[in-house]
Amino acid sequence: MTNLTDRQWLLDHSTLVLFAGLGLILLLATAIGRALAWVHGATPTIDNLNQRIDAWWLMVAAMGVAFIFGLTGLTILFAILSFWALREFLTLTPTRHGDHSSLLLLFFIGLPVQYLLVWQQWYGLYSIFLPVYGFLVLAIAATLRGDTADFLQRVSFVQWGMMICIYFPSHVPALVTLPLASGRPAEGLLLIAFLVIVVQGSDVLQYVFGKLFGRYPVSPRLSPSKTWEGLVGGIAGATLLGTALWWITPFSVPAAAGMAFVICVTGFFGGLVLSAIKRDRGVKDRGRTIRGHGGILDRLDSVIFAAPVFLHLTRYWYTV
Amino acid sequence: MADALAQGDSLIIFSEGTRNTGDTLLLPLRAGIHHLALAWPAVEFVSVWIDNISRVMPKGELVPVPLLCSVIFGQPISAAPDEPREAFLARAREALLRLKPGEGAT
Repeated sequence: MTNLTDRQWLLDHSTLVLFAGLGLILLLATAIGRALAWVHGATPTIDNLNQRIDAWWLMVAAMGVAFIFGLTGLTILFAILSFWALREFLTLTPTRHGDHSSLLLLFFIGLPVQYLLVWQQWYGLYSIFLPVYGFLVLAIAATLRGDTADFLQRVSFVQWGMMICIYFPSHVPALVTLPLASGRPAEGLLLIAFLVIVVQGSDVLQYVFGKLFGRYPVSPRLSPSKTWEGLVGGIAGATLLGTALWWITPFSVPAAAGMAFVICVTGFFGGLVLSAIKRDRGVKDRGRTIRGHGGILDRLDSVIFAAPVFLHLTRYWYTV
Repeated sequence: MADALAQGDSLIIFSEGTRNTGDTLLLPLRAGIHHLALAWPAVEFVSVWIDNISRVMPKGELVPVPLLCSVIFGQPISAAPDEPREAFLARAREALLRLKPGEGAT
């Protein structure tokens, strides 16, 4: 089991090199973004680019702080992200008065207990707590008020919120708890860095390749901005990025490439599925946004799908 | 209420008169705002729509659910001196419903 109480990993060479590298890349990106804004003026595309870069600084800073506090810090960080995501998701879903107790259970029991189980490194229970017990309890809670209007639809909304806002994101801090075969202290934390860098790299590269070469949309009805050119370029680029990071992982070079590829593909479909949900809920069509609050699900969508798959693949092949 | 207005303060009036527990979008507005409008012709009524509030804490519940709410403000309206009650309440209702997200321009 990775020993997280001592801070050996702070001196770990890989961690230092990685964060220094990230800082340099972000500095470069910030410089380019600001230079573009200075040369071309503030066009919407350049504004959007600079906002994304600023968000990246925040993410790297949050990850850095979470790394300093280890499993506890990461658990708290992702519990907060889950809470925000759940608020956002349930705000968009039409629940009724009869769902009040389901919603309370999800916010005040399901979410804290799931993250407590991850923090306790109780794999056997955190991997079934919500999909089995949460699923049953929510279904039961929905019947208690005797409201049968749109029953299946309402229960499904709440159960989906549970899975994509709490259960899947909780697999990110859970990566730290894996008993990796190599036993290096920082390795669990670096797995998270690998996941987040590959997922975000894939998003950014898809965006860049899409803007530069994009012509043919993958799914015009779901997400017109996702193009085949962006998808292929982004996934190839981020797979290469992940391969180049093999030295921070327990994987061999080809295995790192395979893992990065799986992360990119699941991440892409995560984005597509959440787009479909938002279309269904009429968020995109009606231009209805929650000003000043929105966007946490947009930032998490790829991680949500990639994290559990990455955790189980790593657990199967690389743990003792 | 008259004292507060005389001092130049604003009033917040929930003119449905109760909390909405059913599926109707907006309960019938109570007549109080019409009395107020006749007594204080200079006072403007600003419509405010609080979206999602009925889901956060429905009547009879003890614990609120932390969902997001939006508060949307509309253009002020005021009553004409001889405007009948029904006409004014209908106008106020119309002004409120126009603010609902996804309806008309917001």
